[in-house]
Amino acid sequence: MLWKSATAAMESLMRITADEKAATRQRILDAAKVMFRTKGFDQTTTRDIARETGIAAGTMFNYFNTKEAVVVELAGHALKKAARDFGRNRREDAVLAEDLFASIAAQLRALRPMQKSIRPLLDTALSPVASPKIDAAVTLRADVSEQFVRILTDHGVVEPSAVTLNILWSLYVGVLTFWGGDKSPKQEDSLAQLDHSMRMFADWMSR
Amino acid sequence: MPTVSELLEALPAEETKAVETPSAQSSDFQAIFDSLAHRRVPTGGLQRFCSISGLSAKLGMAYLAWWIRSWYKPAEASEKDLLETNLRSALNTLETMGYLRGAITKVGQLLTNFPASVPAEFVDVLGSLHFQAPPMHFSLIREQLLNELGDAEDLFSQIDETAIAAASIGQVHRARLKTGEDVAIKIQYPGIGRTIQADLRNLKMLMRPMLFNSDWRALEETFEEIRTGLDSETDYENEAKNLSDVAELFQDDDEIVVPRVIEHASSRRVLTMEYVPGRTMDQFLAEDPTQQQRDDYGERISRALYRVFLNRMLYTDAHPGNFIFMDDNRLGFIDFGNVRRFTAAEWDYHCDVSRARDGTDEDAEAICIRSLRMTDEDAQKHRETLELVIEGFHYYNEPVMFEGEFDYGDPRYIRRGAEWLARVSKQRWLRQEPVNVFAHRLNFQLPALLYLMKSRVNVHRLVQELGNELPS
Repeated sequence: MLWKSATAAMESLMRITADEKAATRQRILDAAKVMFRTKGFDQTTTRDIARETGIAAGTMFNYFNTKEAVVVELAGHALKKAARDFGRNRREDAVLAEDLFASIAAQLRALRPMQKSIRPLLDTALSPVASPKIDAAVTLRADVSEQFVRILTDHGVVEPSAVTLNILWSLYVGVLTFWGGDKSPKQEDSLAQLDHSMRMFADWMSR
Repeated sequence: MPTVSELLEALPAEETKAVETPSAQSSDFQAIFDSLAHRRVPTGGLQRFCSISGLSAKLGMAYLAWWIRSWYKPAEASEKDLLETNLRSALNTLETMGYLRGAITKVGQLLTNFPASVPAEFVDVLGSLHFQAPPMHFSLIREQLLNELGDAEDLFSQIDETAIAAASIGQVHRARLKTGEDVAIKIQYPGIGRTIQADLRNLKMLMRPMLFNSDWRALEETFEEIRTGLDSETDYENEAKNLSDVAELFQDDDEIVVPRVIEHASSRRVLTMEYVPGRTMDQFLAEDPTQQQRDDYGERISRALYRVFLNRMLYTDAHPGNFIFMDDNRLGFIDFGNVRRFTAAEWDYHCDVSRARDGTDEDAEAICIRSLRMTDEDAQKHRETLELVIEGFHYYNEPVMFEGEFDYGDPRYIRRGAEWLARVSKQRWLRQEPVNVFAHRLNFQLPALLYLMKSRVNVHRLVQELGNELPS
């Protein structure tokens, strides 16, 4: 009896600890998101994020080893939301260029608060020359890639070749890079860049 | 603007007597042009030129390339190689600029105010220089609406995914507001305004060979006129203002409808207006309207354009797509992107033009000299040009001077205009009042429209009546 109640107490304690941990993790992400947006990635240190979250600098490392890992996790959440938005708004009669456009446009919209942190995201996870070391970065890259493959498959490109995927990926990263530095009003140049890039890709595919 | 030969081709067969167009000249540049030729310019009737703005755009593009080429023509043999290289890069640049919709097409159209003599063959070949960017798909439209207006679902209960019209720098979609009102949304291609400005800067670079020419200054002014016009066209807030200013000029009994702007669903890049239902000019004409209906609509179109003009504004793009033939016989008058507002000095000039119209031969000559910015010496030296322009001045004023119903449907009138255009285009006189860049275009567009409609309009009475409305 005593043993049983001790176990229940322990479980309850563990649940509270897990909940607390999740809450702290979220607080770190929220604080980092604001700081990356306002101060920029380079000007923000892990120590700053810890201070803003209200935890000790050492505690911070129980959650994220680097600030790059924070960026990747933030991007992961944003891209999941983008995938949901794309799925919800996807038009039945869209051609390949439009579907790719819509998918990436949804990403840009979801990533907007992280526009100033796009370079570390590219370096860590998305650039063609990045070799992701963080698990979350590997997953992030795989998720985006999978979405592109699914779109291609939906348009009759079954098992796209490595060359096809690499060309698309290069255009995708090109758009992200351009967007990262886009100072045009409401980033309208990035939309044009994305539109032209995806048309170019679809034209090439149709040859 | 059509080519002269095309215009003549469109006239009734029994009346047609072809004006001599210069034969195709053998050219060292032919290979360059050939390499750019992928599509033929569609040729056909006057009807088609008027109803498909794309065709006039292609022709405008062709004129532009030909025009640039003409600067290189008088070169000494020794300079030929260099000039060929320059031309090649000019054409390449044109090709790049044409990549995005709008800009170069417009410039080409506007520069047709100085058409060089264009052999039909060149027009065919150079037509391919016009690059029409693909239309925006709905996902791009949605992104633009989100950027400009926030969540469109808060404003519109429905937006048609298929465009009802292609505007030069965007496209138009039908929609319904949450309040139930039917509207048309004009949405701009992202970043097109700055692209147009960049293209114009590039184009100005292409004009460098003209730098030491005495006409350079005039060209620069013309360029500035075009630049300003295009600039205002990319600002839909400016168009919204034009719409409301022009709408105020018309009352119910004018039977002319200018769409109301829905301000809370508009921005610099998105313009939401009341939807004006009705037929296109093609549809109207296909119904074989009575002469009375043709005359009524002809009168309304003339009234609309003249009243705007007399209120010191110039409606610069009177093509058929901008007039809607409504079911209750009213005229829909749309697209106010580029409305040129006259400065006080420009208005004085136009008043002097009107006075000269009613004046003596000397008055006509004086106003033409002024319009061409000729010195006395120029007027002596370029007598032929001056005489031709005076002839054109009288030609354009014929409908206003005629006391009675002027029959625009008479092919002899429009053919004389085409023949005049063919002759004047060979003069290569580039100086002019910049404000006339757009005014001359309208001078040709209105008779062409009314010719298509075979309308008879008492322009003399109309202009007097409209003039009397104005405060003295």
